[in-house]
Amino acid sequence: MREYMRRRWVLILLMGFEAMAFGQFEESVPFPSDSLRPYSDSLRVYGNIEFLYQRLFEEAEALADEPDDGEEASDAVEELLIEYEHLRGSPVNLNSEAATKLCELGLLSHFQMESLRQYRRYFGDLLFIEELRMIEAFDEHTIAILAPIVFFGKNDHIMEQERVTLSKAVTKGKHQVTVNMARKFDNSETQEDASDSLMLARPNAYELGDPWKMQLKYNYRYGSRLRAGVAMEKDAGELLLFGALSDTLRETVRKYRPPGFDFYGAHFYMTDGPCGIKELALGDYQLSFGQGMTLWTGLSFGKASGGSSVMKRAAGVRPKASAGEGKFFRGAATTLQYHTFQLTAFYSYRKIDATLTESDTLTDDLEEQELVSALQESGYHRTLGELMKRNTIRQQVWGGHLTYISPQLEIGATAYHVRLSSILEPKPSKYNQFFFRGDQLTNMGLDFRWQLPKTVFFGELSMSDNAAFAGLLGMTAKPAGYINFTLLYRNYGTRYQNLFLGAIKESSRGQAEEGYYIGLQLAPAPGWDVIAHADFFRFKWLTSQVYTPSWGQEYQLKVSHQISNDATIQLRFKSKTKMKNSADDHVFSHRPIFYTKRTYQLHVNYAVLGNLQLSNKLSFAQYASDDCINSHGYLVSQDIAYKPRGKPYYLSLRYALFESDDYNSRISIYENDVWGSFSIPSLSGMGTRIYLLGKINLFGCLSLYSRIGITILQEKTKTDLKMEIIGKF
Amino acid sequence: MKKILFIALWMLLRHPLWATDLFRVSGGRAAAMGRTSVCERSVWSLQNNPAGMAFLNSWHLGLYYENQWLLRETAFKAGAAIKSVPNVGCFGVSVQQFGGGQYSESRLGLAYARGFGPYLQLGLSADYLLLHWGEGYPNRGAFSISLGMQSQLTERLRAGACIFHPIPVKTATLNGDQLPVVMRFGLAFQCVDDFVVQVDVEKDRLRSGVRLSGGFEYLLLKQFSLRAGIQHNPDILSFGAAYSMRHLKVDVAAQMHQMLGASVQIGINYEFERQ
Repeated sequence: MREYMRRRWVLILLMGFEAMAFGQFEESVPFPSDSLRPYSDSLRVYGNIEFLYQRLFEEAEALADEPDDGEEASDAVEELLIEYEHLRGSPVNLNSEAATKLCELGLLSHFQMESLRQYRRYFGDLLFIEELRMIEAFDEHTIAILAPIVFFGKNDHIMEQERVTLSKAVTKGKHQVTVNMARKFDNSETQEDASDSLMLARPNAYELGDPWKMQLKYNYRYGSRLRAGVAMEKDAGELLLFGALSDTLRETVRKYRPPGFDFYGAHFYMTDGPCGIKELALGDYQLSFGQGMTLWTGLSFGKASGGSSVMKRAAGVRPKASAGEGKFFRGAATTLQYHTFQLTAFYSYRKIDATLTESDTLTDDLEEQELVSALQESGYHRTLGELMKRNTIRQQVWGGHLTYISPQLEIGATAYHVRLSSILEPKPSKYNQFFFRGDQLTNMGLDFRWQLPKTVFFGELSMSDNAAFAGLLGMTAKPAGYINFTLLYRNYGTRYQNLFLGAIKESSRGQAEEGYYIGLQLAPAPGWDVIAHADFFRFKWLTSQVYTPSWGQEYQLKVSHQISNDATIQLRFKSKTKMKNSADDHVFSHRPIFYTKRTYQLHVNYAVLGNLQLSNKLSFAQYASDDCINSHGYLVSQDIAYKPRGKPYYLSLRYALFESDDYNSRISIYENDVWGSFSIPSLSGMGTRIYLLGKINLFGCLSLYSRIGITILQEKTKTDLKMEIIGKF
Repeated sequence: MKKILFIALWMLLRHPLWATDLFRVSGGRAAAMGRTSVCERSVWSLQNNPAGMAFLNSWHLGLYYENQWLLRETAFKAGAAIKSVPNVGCFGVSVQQFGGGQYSESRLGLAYARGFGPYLQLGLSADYLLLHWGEGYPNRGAFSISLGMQSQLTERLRAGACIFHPIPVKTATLNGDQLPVVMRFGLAFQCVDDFVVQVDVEKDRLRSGVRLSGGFEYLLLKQFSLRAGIQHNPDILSFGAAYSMRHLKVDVAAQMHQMLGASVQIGINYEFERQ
């Protein structure tokens, strides 16, 4: 051990010397004065974001293949980027227990956290970020992602102990304003000259507003103690002001919404308050407990990242700062702490979108309580038809969560009740026979996590008030620092109903599903990393895609190699087999068939001349189905990112050529975007995709992003434009 | 009726009859680890890859039972005994049977294996294969051999390869049907003392596609280990556990085929005292 300590000091001294000699600490990241400046040049700032994006978008790309989950993925990514941005402003002290926050965000795995604790127990507090390299289970990517958002202070940072007074909160708080504008240009036919009568006659065909998407966000924070903000958004095609509309149309639209932005949200969040209040959230917030079988909204990543990340770490109450219009709560939530117990209570009242059932002349008595056929979560109100669904019903949710936390064991219980102002009654069909119907739903669940030195067992059992169950049981183990495997079994009852489900699942609803998951993460040699997983799932009831109980498998293999400090190569393979109804109806109308989509991706990333980051990608997608509809898709791309050292700007460019036979073999590929945004175009057909992203920092407090993306297909050209201004003061 | 019978028979006979798993993987450890067997070193190497038994000491006995798809008609039973003779090599005899009653496949094997230093072990097995049909159809039998090798590449990495019935000879008794030719190779990576990862590739000459499998074993406690694995083509997921006492080792496993359901396996290995 003494030997180890000596080595540690030699290393630290060397690094300090290197940093002094080359003077390459980053200036832009503010660090609390009592901590050591951790950031050396070996971890490039650009690289940090790049690694984070890469990790995020692997998840998001996986979700982008599932049409139902695309929207959720985009909200989740946006939310994580907001959290990341927030942490850049108020870094987490890795020498304190606040580091568990990074686990909740999925930036640090459970075992990395454990290794860190162990390291601190043996050798005391960390002093430099480079020390993380000596802790087993910490790889370069993780360190690069962590670098801007952590610092190494004394055990408890001064900011977290002192009392928050109003004057301090006003004078020392940090503010951030984000303005984001985007629009798409499409040289296909325009819809400008549609007359009012036509718009009223075909309410779903015409967008009422202009094609600009606008987002305005204001965030305030005081360390990690106080957060507040407002967000407003208008999607492309949504109305901002009604001036351009004709009188009749304006009257119609006014019935559904007032002028202004389409979405407004506000949040206030406080931690470590008086009277044992651990957290208090007012306004918009997200909740997540246990493994997500009972209640989980917001940030949730599934199977794609592999490793132990399928074991979820619930964050409890978290403010919702994004402008996503999917699932969230609006009201109040608080967590109280008493010794080893934590109690969360919440109440939420919100108007949500729903499709009203066509009124029937015979059902007069039901007029007081309308029927709705489906809840809408897309958040789009572009056309008259979509506007009619806006805020049509009221949703009340209240409930709570109680946890017992000890170092080895965590046990939690969740219960909540949802009340809708209208009765949800989907149009009866065989596949939706067991969907939730009615206006009230209660869910309850028990979750646990039991931690042994090298193994963690976790699980959750949930119940909906129709006495249907869903359960999850898993284990994740770390035989050595560089090996990690996970086994997980999940089973959702056929009649299980839940409106706020966030657990690992294959179907979008999480009903009538059973699945087995095996994941393995391994570093067979220094610089090599292998992540593999397999998921076998079975749907016990019909789905909208296949009119029979069905099953499928998913495999993923990712091999990455760090060639040198500046170069990595990664190979990714993914295969998913599922069942669907056959398209040809000569024999049986809905014959179930298997289809498989495989994607192969080779990604090479390297830096030259210190400030030029180059990267190449080769993607190949293959689609094959039992009814002999086979297709292929390719993509080849070159990325160039220019980030001059010590200069306030950077440029990033991609040129990609793609070719795919049809939509089935489309290629989803992530693109760098303006901060906090998300872009994964699905490319099909034959063409070129180019984007150019630029960023410039002005006066030390303003960041300007601008991005233009062009997709050139044989018959048309699509352009998308984005601009963002972030002001920090 | 005759027509239907004829069509049914034609459907049945159209495919090579020997395309069943005559050289199926046996042993509870392999069953739990996605049927990865080539690099294993146990009494079941006798049937999976004869080279694997080269370094075993003294007497070993093994019994294995697999209830495939939880049907008695598709049960698989195997037994094996190994005796090592110092400076000569290792000898073994094994017997296995799949099915019963109206249809069964049996294999009787005599094997010999020898190690040439740590880098190379070779094994050879001579097998008699027997197909039994009920209701007066004649039994069919054939001789075949299997060859195997294993090599300890580094302290932690082992490679293995095995081929069953390498020369596809048509025998008169088989009415023109062919024996499967199966080749497997794989790697076993002992990452740390208590964790092993194994991968296998298998190609059967009579079956389309390549069979891939992978699995791992984790020694959770000193005597208790946990295993899991997958196989592709067909897609099978497997779990298992093992409990070892001084001489006796009990393996249990369960496999999941999504269309056909679950199979359970149990194996008992007994090792006599070292001489």
